[in-house]
Amino acid sequence: MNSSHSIGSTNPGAAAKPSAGGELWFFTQDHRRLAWMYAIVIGLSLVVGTVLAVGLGLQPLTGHGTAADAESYRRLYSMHGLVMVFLVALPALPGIVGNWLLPERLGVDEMAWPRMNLLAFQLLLVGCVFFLVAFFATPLDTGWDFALPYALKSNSSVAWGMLGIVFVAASFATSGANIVATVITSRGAGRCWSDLPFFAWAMGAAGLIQAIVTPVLLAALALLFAQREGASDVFASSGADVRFDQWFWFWAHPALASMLLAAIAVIGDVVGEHGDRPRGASRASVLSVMAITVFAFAGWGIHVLGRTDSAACDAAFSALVLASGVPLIVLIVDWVTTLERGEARATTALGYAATSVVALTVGGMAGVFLAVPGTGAHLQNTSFSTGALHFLVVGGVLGALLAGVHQLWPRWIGVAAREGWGKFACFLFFVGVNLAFVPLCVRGYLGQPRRTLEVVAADERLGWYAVLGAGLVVGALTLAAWNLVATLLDSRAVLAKKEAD
Amino acid sequence: MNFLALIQAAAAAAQPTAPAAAQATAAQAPAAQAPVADAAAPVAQAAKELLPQASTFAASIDDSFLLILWFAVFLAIVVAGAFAIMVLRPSAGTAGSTSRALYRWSAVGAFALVAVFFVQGARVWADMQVVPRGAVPVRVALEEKGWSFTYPNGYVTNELHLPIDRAVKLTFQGASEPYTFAVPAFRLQIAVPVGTRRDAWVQPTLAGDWEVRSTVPSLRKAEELVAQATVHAEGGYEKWYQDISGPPLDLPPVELGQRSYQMRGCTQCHTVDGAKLVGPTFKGFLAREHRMKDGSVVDPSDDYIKESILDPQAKVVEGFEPVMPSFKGRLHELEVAGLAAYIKSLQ
Repeated sequence: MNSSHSIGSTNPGAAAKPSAGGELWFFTQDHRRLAWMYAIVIGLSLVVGTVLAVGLGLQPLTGHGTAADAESYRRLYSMHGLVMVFLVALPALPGIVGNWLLPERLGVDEMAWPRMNLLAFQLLLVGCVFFLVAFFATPLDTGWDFALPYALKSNSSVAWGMLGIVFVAASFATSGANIVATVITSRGAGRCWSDLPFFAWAMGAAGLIQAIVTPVLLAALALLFAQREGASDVFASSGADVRFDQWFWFWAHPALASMLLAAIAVIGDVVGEHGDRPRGASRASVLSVMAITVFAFAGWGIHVLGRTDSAACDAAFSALVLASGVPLIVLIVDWVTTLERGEARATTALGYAATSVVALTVGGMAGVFLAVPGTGAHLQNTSFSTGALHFLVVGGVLGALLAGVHQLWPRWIGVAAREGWGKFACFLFFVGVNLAFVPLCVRGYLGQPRRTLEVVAADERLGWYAVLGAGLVVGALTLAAWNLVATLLDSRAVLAKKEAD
Repeated sequence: MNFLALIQAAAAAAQPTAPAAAQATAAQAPAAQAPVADAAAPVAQAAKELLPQASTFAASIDDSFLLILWFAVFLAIVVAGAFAIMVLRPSAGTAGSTSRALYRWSAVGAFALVAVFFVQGARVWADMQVVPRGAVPVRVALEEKGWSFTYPNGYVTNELHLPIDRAVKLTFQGASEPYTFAVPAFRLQIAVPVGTRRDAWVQPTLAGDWEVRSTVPSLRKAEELVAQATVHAEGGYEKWYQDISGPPLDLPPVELGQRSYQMRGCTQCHTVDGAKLVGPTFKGFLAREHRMKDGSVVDPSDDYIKESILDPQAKVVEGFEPVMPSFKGRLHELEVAGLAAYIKSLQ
């Protein structure tokens, strides 16, 4: 593979950087090379997670009833969740788009701490190795959220999985701190806070959340590990499952919000480029990002709705989570008016950004169903919550990732991806996301529990619609990947011809 | 409790027609559906056919759900439409900054909508928290072999029986693993964390059999997580309860045993006239030899009779199959003693 400087020669910032020609890729501190390496690792993880998802979707329709079926299903959804959450959804946007775009948007040559940037990537790789061990030894079967009390007595590779998460979480914290430091240190020499681009505000908020909350996850896992090894009894008494979930979701709720903030950063950037505000940030959009960040820290209790004895706490958490929808609406208004004032063209990048916004809207509204106390109590633990999460992660985060990659592609490789195929893949993605996850929500309302092989609600047609939708999503991702790789291969010939001319 | 009262007061102010929890009945459900637009009626009807509204909570939760659903659909269409219009329109808009008023009103509108969603949902949720006085108490637990429901008379069964149009108080006993008590037709799901006790209530409004299920992922067999909730039609629950309540316990032992024999279903398998059914006859119990399948012979003692009632598989009489269910937890100990006295009295 060429160095990023040669293939990214259209990037004005690239010329100012020192050469990295003889440097080994694995030890590079160049943010663009690191973005490439994140893209490769996350792309491979996405393939693994998708294959597991296909198995998950097909198993209830093809075979169930035996204990072996149930066990393999538990392992499938646990490993799918582990890979998709920790190796795709959380690191994808900061790692790929953030690494590439943040210094460029801030007008600096490099991230604030290049060594920490490399360290974050290497920690992620180490985490990957432990996940592989967990996968090939005795695949994890506790769910990605280590549901108690089963996580205490499971004979699967819980320890390996937890060890992997420790390294991956350390990677998130390191990367988050680096992003925050880059945003802060880029000021000066006439640049003040109000000059910061929207991308920096939103990506900085995502990094801030990761840097702050990750230690809570590490503490929760340490306590769980100690309990498993008999060195603690903090999760031994009544209500232990709720207590662990409070710890876990104190990290997971803000972490999921940070993932959405990273998606918001990319959408804002793509919309700004297509509208009249390239790189700019309105006061309303910045305040909205700040509000989402604050609400992100205050909403964890919604995940134990109805499981504590405090009705007041339930109501307070419900109100806080619902209130976090207000700044999202303001952001959508900001994006539409930004486009309205510009000369927006129907590009693939904008198509994915729009898909991501619609998915965030639908997923966010699905979150409203779960947060409103009456409907929330009925929907907890059903496939409705699975559908809501997938709207946010697949439609929202993956959509934003594709938007960002298509937007950056000409700067990465010097040649834009083919628009026709890109738009067709985007259309398939939009249809697939909705066809795959709306049936999950409907079945959840009808009483289908999540994480079970038994189809207990509605008819199996809904399951087939979901499989068809998932197939379209897989097809769209394959097509998009082929389109990007094909143009990458073409770009070499184009660049060689340019040099020859 | 004050907090709940506050919520209920706010809900009542927002919706003067909202029924109070204890008085809510099926007849009031249509009034609670008023906020749903007429255009929503076909969808609401289809939803009811897929998932019947079988409790007083169901209509209110469906209203709340549909209110949010319609807004979600509207918002998704508006957002997708706005992006489409922006790229398809012939000319660009006017450059400049967005009016602050637009942001402000967007925020105010969004906040107002969120508040409506919250109050609508909190109203039914607040109702759920306060168990009405006079509710029929039933104890619920998810035990090793599955669900168990204990009624006020001590009768234990693995099926939930409920009266129609009467509030039932459900007291859940936490087990060694968390579980939920979910009845989709009631729109009721109660989470019971490890080792805790929870109270809830429900007022069924539709007779029929509804599925009870724990939705928490578990290593148990799927069938152990499922039970049936039978809502009896008018008067049906009282008859069923009378049947399971058995005879008055202050009767003389032999008479009590005879009444138990007649009321507890013993007659289906055991005769008192010497005829052979699924199980051995009780006639001449003391006089005959009791040879077991394994070849052993047992004395016709009180202990043997008691063991045969509570743990029927422990000793199986030669020539019969081990098909008798255990009556452990289903009979009062005086009834068991009475049955022993009655069986021994049959010459």
